[in-house]
Amino acid sequence: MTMANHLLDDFTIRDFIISGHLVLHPAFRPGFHENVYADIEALYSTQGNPGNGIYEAVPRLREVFEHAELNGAMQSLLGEDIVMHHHRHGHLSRPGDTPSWWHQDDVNQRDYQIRRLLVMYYPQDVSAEMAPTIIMPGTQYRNAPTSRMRSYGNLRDQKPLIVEAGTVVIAHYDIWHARAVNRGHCNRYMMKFIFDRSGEPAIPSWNHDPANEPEVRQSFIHTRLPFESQTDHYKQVTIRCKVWNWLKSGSPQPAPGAPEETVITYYR
Amino acid sequence: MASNSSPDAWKRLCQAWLCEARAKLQQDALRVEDLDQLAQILEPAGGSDLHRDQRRQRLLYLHASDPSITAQVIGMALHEPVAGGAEAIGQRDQWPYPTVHEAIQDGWQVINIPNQLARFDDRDLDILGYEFVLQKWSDGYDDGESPPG
Repeated sequence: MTMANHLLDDFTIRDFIISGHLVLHPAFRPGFHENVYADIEALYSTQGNPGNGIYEAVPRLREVFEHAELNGAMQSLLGEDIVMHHHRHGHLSRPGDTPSWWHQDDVNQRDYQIRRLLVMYYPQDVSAEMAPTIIMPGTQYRNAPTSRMRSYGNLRDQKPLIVEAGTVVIAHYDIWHARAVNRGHCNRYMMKFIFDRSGEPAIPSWNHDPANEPEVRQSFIHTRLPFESQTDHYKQVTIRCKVWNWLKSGSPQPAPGAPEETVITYYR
Repeated sequence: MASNSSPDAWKRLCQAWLCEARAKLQQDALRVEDLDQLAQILEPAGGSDLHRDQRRQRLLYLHASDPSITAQVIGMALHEPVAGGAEAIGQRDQWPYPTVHEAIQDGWQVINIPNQLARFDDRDLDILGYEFVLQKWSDGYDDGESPPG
């Protein structure tokens, strides 16, 4: 299969724009993820965490991040010329490690341009006891400095990423996330990689069908996240439409006369 | 005399003294010595000041979807005044208070309300919810005691 077979459709792009994440289960040969886990365990126990060098230190990771399904999804969101960022990190959580707090990585980029993705690969099953990454779907457009998130505890609609070995989660770079405490009995690894767009969008980079526009548009308008106030929902709708337009054309504004033009106009 | 080093023990001493004093009053047998005994119970080293010192503050952060106390709670953090008692992300199964108002009905006192004059942007999305901070005074925890479930 080529990467083109793995491009996302309109509704998956829509869901990503709304929730800020996408869960993939790329197919690998049996035993592959167990081998990756063993490689990482051996590396960390003998040489420690190599930081950005994790990609070179664990050659099997290349197979993960070059997988056609993953790259098809990333191309759909970032365009054809995707660049792996030099910063990578293999996050280790040992049994008994304390949780982290809610944060966004770096200062946030927010709003309508998707220029960077956070990609997390789990080489082992992650149960609720094994320090799952916790994300808060729909928070990716919030301009909220991490320091101001420090008083948050648990959020009602947070989503623990309880996943099977080999799961890859693609997230909007600005999504709020945290790590739960490790109450399990073994090390949990999460390989965090960052991918960037290298060009401006001009046409949809996914399997776009203009016939889906009305349904996508309706979803942007009517999907109100459970934690949102009415005012925040208005803002979300506008941002979603801008993201959609920008990914399709490079402009946040709808094409003159396009059906979605009325949506943005209505909410302004 | 029983130890009065904890608030519970001190309360039991007071109750015992009151019970005995009532009985003595009925028999016209209450004496100055009895009042001296009460004064001893109430001494700072073993009385109300000690009780006050051992009270500890429980803090409850409730994030509501709007600044009203009847708005739905969308996030919470309960910090118990013992080591290891701070809220941990990912370890909450129960949401006891759907609104701030229901927490107040359960005895929590609001000590911080959201500031309606805070800066805002009419287009940008920022932090999530409106933060109420509430407190309750514990009856006291012994060192090493686990917080209530």
